[in-house]
Amino acid sequence: MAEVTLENVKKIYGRNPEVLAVKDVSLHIQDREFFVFLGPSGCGKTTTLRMIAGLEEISGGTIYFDKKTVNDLTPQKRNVSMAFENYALYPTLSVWENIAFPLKIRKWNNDTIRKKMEWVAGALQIGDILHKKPFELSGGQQQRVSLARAIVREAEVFLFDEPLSHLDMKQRQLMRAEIKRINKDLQNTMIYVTHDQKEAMALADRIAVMNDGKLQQVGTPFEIYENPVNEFVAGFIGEPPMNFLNCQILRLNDFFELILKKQVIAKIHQSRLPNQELFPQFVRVGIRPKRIQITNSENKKDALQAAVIVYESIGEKGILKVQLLGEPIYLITEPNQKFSKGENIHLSFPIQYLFFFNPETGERINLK
Amino acid sequence: MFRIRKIFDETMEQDVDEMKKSKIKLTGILRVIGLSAYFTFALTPIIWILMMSLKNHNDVIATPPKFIFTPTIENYKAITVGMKSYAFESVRPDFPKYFLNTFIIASFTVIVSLFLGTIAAYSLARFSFRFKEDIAFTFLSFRFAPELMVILPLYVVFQKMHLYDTFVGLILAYQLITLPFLIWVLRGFFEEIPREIEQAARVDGYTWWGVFRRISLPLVKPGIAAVVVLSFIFAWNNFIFAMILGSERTQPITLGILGFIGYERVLWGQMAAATIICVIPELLLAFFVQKYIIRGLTFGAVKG
Repeated sequence: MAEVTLENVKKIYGRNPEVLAVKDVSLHIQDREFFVFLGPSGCGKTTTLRMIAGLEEISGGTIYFDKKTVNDLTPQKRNVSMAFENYALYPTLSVWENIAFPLKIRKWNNDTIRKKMEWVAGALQIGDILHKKPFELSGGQQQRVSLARAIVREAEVFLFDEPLSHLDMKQRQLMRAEIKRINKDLQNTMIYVTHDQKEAMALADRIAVMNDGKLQQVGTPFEIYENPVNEFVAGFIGEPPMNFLNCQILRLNDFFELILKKQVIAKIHQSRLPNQELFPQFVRVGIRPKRIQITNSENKKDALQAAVIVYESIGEKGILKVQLLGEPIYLITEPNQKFSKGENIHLSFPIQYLFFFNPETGERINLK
Repeated sequence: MFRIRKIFDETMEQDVDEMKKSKIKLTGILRVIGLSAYFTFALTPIIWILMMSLKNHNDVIATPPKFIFTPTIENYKAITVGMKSYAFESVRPDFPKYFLNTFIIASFTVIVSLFLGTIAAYSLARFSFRFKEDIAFTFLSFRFAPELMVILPLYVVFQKMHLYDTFVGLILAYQLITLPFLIWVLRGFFEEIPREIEQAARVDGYTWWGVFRRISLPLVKPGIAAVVVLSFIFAWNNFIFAMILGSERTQPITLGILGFIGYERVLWGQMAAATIICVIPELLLAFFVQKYIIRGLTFGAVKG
């Protein structure tokens, strides 16, 4: 059990110091925290995890476990345990030997090993496959074994590198719950890497969203969802993703009007703008699919006409794709509403649910 | 009547089946012919030499060749214990010494190659360093450079370094034959091992060396078996290095056999007997690790 601190951690691959796989990542992971690195593939999240594990050299910056610098320690000396994306079971060893492997290296006595094995076999329900060889197992079982091998040890930090990415949807959900439960039982610091935002939201105490080697935002799932700091984070979290519209801003008396292709989609009172001079002439406006309102009356002010492209009903909700002034927009609707292709509907964008982003930097512009 | 009908029907059915079967049969027959042809091609020289080794001198040189003769083990006796039983006795009863020489040279060549080669192969497969591919290619180039091209300079070097006609010298020179082959085959094997398995073992608590010894090496066992046997055979069969860089003291069988070509005549029978004895260790070795060789050499090819 340990706190993990990253200070300006960098990773350079190859000889060109300009190309950074990880750019100046600084963060602090608390003791017993379930911390998730989230981002698209190639964003540097796995590299960061591997630097914490000691499998990847740290090109710059410092990593601390508690107060101790671990930069130059081998994985063996860092006392971390890790579950790999493709399981990485030892093919020549049985399941039992695979899991007991790290304990045997540490020269635990047989009784302790047996007790620990019983516990882990029970926790991950693998008691009946302990004598088998890895190639005889299904993907889900290999997955469990790999998790078992990672958690059987009393490591400082448990690391998980996309451990569920090769499982089917249902198994993934089951294992997600399992991992969460184990985390609660063990009370250990766990660092988890995934590209699946649902997984991240479900598991994490805190999430670090990464993109292009850079840390975008660190926060609780709620903060990340409700209060994204930039367009990338806003667009990455949520399914279907947030809608973005390029709007022009025009001043009309006390109001600023958001104009999309000559139509006004919303108005903001000037008192709410943080700094009128700094507020750009064009903004990216974001709104979550479930926040767009479908209005019945046509003559209602600010209502915008849109044509239905696709409607999917997935039971507990409906997903609607519409064309609004030439822009595709996603909506989440109530399950009892039905739509047909080509149908015209009217939308309104409640001002309190709009997000504003600088079109050049992607940074969020907060209203008062 | 009914019975006749039934028999008729049955024969008809059989005919249809026969037609289907005949196709299968035809490919079967072709296969047998093909295999027999290869078998004859591969085995005739060995059988011929085996027969020669069991003939007395007059039978060996008889024309037309004799297929029916009274076998004799005199040739074997002559070369192993040097017994002089008839007029043209062995002039080189030191054949056992050559056999031992070959054995020493081939074994140590393989041991040295295996030690250096596995480490080199692992490094080439796993680590990235400057000029990696150039180094790998240089190893390979030893293999395709003609031996005759390097042998004369090597002779001069060996003379100066007092390596001429020493076992150490020959074993070093033989590395040119075995080492590149071993490195290239094993490199492929090491590359087949998923990196994550090794990394998992490092995280689980092994040092770099521990991972290599306990995880990686056991996984490439089939490859090692295959290259050891093949390297041993290459080393065992080599002629040119031993001829130029070795002399009386280190002469292996391949050269020893030449000795049967005497001033006055060729001792065909003894030469054949020597050849047969010389082949036996290779055959035995290949026989016992055949399973691994096949698995080893097709490892990359059949993996889906």
